[in-house]
Amino acid sequence: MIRSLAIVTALLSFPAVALAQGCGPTRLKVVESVTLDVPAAEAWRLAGNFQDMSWAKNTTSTVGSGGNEPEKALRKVTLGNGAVLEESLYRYDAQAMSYSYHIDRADTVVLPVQNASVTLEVVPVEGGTKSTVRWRAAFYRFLRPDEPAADSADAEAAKAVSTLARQMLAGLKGKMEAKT
Amino acid sequence: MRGTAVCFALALLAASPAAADEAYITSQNGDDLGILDLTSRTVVAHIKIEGKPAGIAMARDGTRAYVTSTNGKRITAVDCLARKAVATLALPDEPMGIAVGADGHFVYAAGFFQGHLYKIDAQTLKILVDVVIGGTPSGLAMTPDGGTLLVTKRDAGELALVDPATLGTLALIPVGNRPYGVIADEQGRAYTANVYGDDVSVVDLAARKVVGTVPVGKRPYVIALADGKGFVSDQYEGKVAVFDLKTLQPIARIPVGDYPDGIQASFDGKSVYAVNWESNDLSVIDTASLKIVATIPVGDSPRSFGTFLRKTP
Repeated sequence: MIRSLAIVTALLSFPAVALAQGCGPTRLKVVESVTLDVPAAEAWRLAGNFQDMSWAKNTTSTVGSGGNEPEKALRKVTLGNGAVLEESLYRYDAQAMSYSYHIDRADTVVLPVQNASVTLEVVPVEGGTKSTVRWRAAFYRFLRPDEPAADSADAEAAKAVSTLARQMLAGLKGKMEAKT
Repeated sequence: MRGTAVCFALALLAASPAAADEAYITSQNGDDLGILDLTSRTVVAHIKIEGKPAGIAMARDGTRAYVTSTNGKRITAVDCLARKAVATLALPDEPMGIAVGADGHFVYAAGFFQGHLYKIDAQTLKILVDVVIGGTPSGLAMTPDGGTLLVTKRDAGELALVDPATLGTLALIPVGNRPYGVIADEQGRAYTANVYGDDVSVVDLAARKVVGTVPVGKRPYVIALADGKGFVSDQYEGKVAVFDLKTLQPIARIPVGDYPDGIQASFDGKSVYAVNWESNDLSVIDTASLKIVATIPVGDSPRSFGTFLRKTP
């Protein structure tokens, strides 16, 4: 009882911090993708709006402003577990069906990363009859004073990012298949 | 008859160029140092380097390369002729930036978190001088004359000019926001890529002050100099920004691979090589036409932060 209370206290006292703080020298990479049974243009119509993350299964709301305009558009995405991601768009290319954003703030208990940038892109496959949606991220592990070995902290960060991406993309697949 | 044989031998010599220059590619997530033959444009050898290799410094005579491993907290010396790791130095901190002195006798590296700067014997890898410089030392570069060591202090927003003999700080020059990569030219200037400032600071080393600021793309990281131009890897744009070294005006933005990191000019100044961290390849830029002339696949998460080109004899 005392022990579990201590853990809860530790978690609560762990603040969500601005991810723009100085990061370490080891950059991590996660690439997740899903292939959909629809042409790329159709997938982009659903996934290409920065202000709409309703296709991602693990989100409960997306609130934002600035449309799809780079350096203006912001969004606050609430995940199913209550964690909030604050993100800003820095590149949007409708022709290439690709956009990139920075994760400005996140709950580091859920997503123990810093300085994360994500590119979402839709690529036609199988002669254009299908499409692959790729979600690729560059980020650094969240540095904490009581850090375990660097490699395991990196692995933990990468796993959290990977899980987030997979859940999001699984939602996209579900939504597309429900439509067709 | 004999004359014919000599002629034939000479023709053969002329036809087979001197061994091709090489690019040493640190693959941070692959724990690998790949050696890329720049003529055949293929990776011809791999050297296992543990601990997430990232930074690299090539001795000017091309005999040795020195690699920093971030998570592994170590420096590895590589014999470039034998193509094998020959010594390692364990550090108490994660090293990133690294440089070699002009005569090849000393190596300089910094600990990223604790902010120590080390002068290291290039042969034995023993630490000879250890000072605290602080401010998250990131990029290291030696001036062409070997007289000044340049260190970007990322979190202090400063470029430190350091005496390579004593590691004494000669000057601290405020530059842009989060300076990372740094390079010096033959004319007494240094250039820092300011990651959060989206610009390049141009420093007069004698006057010890910033004499110009060049706007570039988003998240600039490393700078190469060639053909009167500066070439800057812009990570968030997947481009190399080019600017004129005289006018300090932007010239072009060249799309390369995704998330370009290390970048360096060839020894003849005709090419610039950009190492693309996310797309796992290397873009070859023609410095006259500013066109991409080749894209070469390399290992996973390549960085080659530092001097990674080797001139072969």
